[in-house]
Amino acid sequence: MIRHANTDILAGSIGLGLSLVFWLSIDREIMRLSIMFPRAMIAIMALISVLLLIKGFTKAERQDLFDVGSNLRVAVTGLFFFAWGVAIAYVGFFVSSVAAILAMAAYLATARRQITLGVLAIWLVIVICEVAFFYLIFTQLLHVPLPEGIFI
Amino acid sequence: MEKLLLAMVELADPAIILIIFAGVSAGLFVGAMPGLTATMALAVLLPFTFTLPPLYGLVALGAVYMGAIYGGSFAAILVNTPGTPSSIATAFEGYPLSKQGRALEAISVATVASAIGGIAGVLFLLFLSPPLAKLSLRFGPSEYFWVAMLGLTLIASLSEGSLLKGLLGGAIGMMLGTIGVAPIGGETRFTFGMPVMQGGVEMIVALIGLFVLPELYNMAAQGRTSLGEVTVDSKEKASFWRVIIRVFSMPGNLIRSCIIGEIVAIIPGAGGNIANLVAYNEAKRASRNPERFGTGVIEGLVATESSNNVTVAGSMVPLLTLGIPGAPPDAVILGVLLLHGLRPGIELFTTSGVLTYAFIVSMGLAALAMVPVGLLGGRLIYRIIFRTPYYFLVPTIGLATILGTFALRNSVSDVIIMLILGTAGYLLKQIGIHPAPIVLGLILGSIAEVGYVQAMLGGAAYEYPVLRLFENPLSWVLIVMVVFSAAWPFLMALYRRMQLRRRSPFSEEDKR
Repeated sequence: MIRHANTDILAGSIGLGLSLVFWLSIDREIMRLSIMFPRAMIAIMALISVLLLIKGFTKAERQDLFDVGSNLRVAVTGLFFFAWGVAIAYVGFFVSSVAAILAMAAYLATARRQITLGVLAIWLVIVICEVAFFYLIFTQLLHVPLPEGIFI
Repeated sequence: MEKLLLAMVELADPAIILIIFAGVSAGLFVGAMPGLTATMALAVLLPFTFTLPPLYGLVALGAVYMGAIYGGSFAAILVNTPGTPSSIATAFEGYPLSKQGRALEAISVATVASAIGGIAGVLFLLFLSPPLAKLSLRFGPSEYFWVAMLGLTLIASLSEGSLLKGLLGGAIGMMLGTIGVAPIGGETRFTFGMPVMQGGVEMIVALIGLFVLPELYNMAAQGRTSLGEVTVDSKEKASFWRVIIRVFSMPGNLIRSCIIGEIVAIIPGAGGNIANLVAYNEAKRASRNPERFGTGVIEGLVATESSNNVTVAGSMVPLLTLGIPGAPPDAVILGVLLLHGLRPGIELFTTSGVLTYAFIVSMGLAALAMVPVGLLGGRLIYRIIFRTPYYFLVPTIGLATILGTFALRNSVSDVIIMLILGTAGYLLKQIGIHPAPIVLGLILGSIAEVGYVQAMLGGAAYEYPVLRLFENPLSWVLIVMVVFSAAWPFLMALYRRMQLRRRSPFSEEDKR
């Protein structure tokens, strides 16, 4: 993994890439009123990106990337969040949240302590109470219907 | 005056005091939850107010509104997550203070500043409503465009490090704001063939993702929370009277921030989300040590919290006088007023004067109630967060963010968008593009687009429609402010360089 990188070139390339993506997705038949502002913004974004690239080649800013803590834990936490976000629609909010919180807590806790089955059982009860608290507030008090799938 | 006194008599009712405290507490809880907004809290409360007498209902709404705007500061200070868009800048100074073990001090300062801001907003509303309402009517499309441009000059302050990267962040935010249905043309843009994108990127969804998720990833990476343990010295500094003295020892900052809050509040469509950033920027600009901003500076916290609470009562100026809701929560209050047969305008201050004044004064009482409720609640929330192990805190904050995001539009797609933006925000932060300019671009993009396109339409008869943007005297005032604000960092840098050269014992000529 790159730890010490020219962040100006990285930022400029991302900006230029985004400008291109937005520019190419402009519908050719769209009315001028709907697109005049975005078109101006795309041009401005591309200009800033080019300036960043020029700066990157002339007076570059270098920075350490991903240099704090465990990147593996970040990646796994991200995967947990995405799995959780998708699962609420298919499994149901309550069950997927209990499973996601328990799994995430168990995984993250391994950095600090050992996890036994007994500890997990206690945590399961705590997590169920926690999710139930929010679930009841939202469904009963705020009248927000939370997603349901195979389960609630 | 007589009506004002009668209103105060009306408020001397234990039930009303109880409603104020309950409303502020409920609002504080909602505001502290990322994703739950003041508008949502008022909308939930709305049906309950139908059965209450008009005064009780209005008092409850005002108290919840005030508490929710203030409650946003808790999450901003303790977990770097603005509970509401009105407390974005609170996180810039509040969170570094928490990391230094000064969380209680930060909460106390935020509480006192919020209370002062709330009371200042009420005073503005009581005594300056008619002239301020007239001023708000002068804002047309071109003025809105220039207000947005003025807001964008804040990027220079908000971008930590490179200005170009800050500008790129602002442009990315503006482009995100263009996704979905065009505000003027009505056509869909940049949906990339996905129907879910037609609704666009909701500002609060982006706010939650860009601010919360990177912080959770940081906690996961470090294997601990960043919250520092409160030191004995900091506990003493957090004592109520010391905080009062400290906050009042910066009168210029307080007055300036309150005036900024009021001016932003009377512009329909703008609110605490813009006021807190503008006030923060001006506090930084006026400071003798602007380079310390972002490391836990009390002045910044005072500026942001006083200005955003001014907007609560401040936005009632166009609402009560002209019937124009200054911010989304005001629309709910307008609904309650109309439901009880109260029409905004002069009649509200004459025929229904006692009720109107009682409602206004009750917001001042709600601002005062924030002090005991906030100080107690703040300590409690700090203890809970501090004692919760990081491996529980990360998924628990995740739960709150997923719930808050989903509840905005009952949309699982919003949750996925929030996660994508949050992860992108974490990666962009690594290369120096911070979330604040992106969110600022998103907030101001839609205001700028509506102003720009409407001005172009208005100037269609001209040979150069763009001249419409430079037509009105108010636009000129704003243009001067934009130019001044944009040039300020460069002028200051030039001034400092000249000062250094003057102080240096060996000037360039001597060297030669």
